[in-house]
Amino acid sequence: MTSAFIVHIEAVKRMIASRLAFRTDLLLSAATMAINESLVVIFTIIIYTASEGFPGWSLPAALLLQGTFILVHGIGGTGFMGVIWNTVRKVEAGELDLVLLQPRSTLQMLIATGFDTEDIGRALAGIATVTYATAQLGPFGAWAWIRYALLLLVGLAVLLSLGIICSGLAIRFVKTWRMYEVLDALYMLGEYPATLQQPTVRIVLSFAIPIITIAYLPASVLLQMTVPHIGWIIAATAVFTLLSYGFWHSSIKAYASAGG
Amino acid sequence: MINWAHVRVMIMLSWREQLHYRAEMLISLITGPVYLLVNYIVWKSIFSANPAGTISGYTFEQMMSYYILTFSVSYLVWDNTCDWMESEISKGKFSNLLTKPMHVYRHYLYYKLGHRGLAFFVEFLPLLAISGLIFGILPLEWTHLIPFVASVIIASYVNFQIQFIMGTTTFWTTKSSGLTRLITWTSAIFAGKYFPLPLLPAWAQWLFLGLPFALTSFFPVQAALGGVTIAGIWFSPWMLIGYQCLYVIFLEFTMIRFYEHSVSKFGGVGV
Repeated sequence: MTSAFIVHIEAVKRMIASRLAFRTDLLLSAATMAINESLVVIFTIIIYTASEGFPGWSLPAALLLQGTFILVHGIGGTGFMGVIWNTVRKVEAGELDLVLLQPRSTLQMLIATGFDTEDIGRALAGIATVTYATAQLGPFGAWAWIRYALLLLVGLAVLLSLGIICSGLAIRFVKTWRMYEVLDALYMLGEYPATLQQPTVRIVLSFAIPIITIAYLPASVLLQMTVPHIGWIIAATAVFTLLSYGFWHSSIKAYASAGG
Repeated sequence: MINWAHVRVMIMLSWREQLHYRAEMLISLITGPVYLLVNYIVWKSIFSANPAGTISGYTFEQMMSYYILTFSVSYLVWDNTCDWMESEISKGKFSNLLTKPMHVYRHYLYYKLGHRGLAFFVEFLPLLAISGLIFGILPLEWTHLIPFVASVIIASYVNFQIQFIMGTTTFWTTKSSGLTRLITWTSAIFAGKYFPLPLLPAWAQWLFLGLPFALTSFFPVQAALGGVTIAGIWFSPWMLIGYQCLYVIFLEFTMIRFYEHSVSKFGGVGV
């Protein structure tokens, strides 16, 4: 366990070092990530300027939800979502075999060497939005923040599961770059209050692909809104995570390299 | 002079490559409707809380038509020339293009003609049909069909010009993906891909009128919807096309000057 941790840290350090070779490009990329993630915030501010906005949600409350989504996306993007492009690129170039030869967990190596320094821009944009929104909404107690932080971990678990599923798909089907578009479409569903969605869509996003745990759940809990079946939603998240691991392991077993 | 044999060969080459990954193209048929569904849900709830029935001059049906057309048009104007140029230049393979019996920009343009032609049948038409069936909205009236087609063709070419100019920056920088991504993503706002530009304040409308990005998406969409008022000025569909044409001339001049100046910087192996 300790050695796995050390290997992970070493791999991440190397990824950061190699990215720092192009510092200006890194800064521009991080800024781009921040701007791109802030688009939904700009869109929401424009909506609230031109209309009454989302029913039942004030502008700071909506920004808290979206800031939370950006924050989770930023942390996940930096820490582990690079597993997707890393897998796609390695499978496409026939380099996955080299990872399989390493005496470490293949999934862990794909995650560690997929560390994305530029996604820190996203996380910073998330922190800035959440800070602004919470300053508008008034002070929250320590217990509210603890529950918020715990639910952020649940959101990160969902994001990790999505990354693992996409990595598994990349192993099964070569050249799957457009998976990112499917993911972006899914993310869009999590960037808005679940109360706007129709009941059927809400059920799917709560229990089948629990996207609403990424931002709606922590933001609602911090705002002391009632979220029905919260326990069941978290249980569904645990099942989703386990299934994603199962899918990935079955995919790697089916991997037949370039000659398969 | 256009060498039609070159055009045909590049289109065939493009089709062969794209058809190899046809499953990838079909992904648009999943992502497109999901994007539209999200916008449908969001705007439905916003309009339900808006007693006036219109937001910045758009009714709910017009807003959905705007999004359907924006997503459909994006498949026709999509361009990756900048990324391809960056890859060829940074890997030192650009010299191969210089030895071909056609100008580099024609090489990329004809290739685009091929894969966007394919996208018309595989992505554009099916998405328009699926959206019409799901949301029950026909976003395009027959009377606006000709200006819409003309405007989309120009929009696609403008996007190519922008991408080509961006691609030439790789001659100066070792790695330009950060810069190009910054321009591409910020330009998406000014292109009106996320929301209709009349929602913005007047000063911002003047800004996007001065930049070329709105010409790649907002203009053809509004040509299909029968015109628009930008910064207090009414633009009929044909006025939108006229404005696009003026910008094409300016960008063409810029593109050629930029390329001639930048290609002299190229120092590939043996060049």
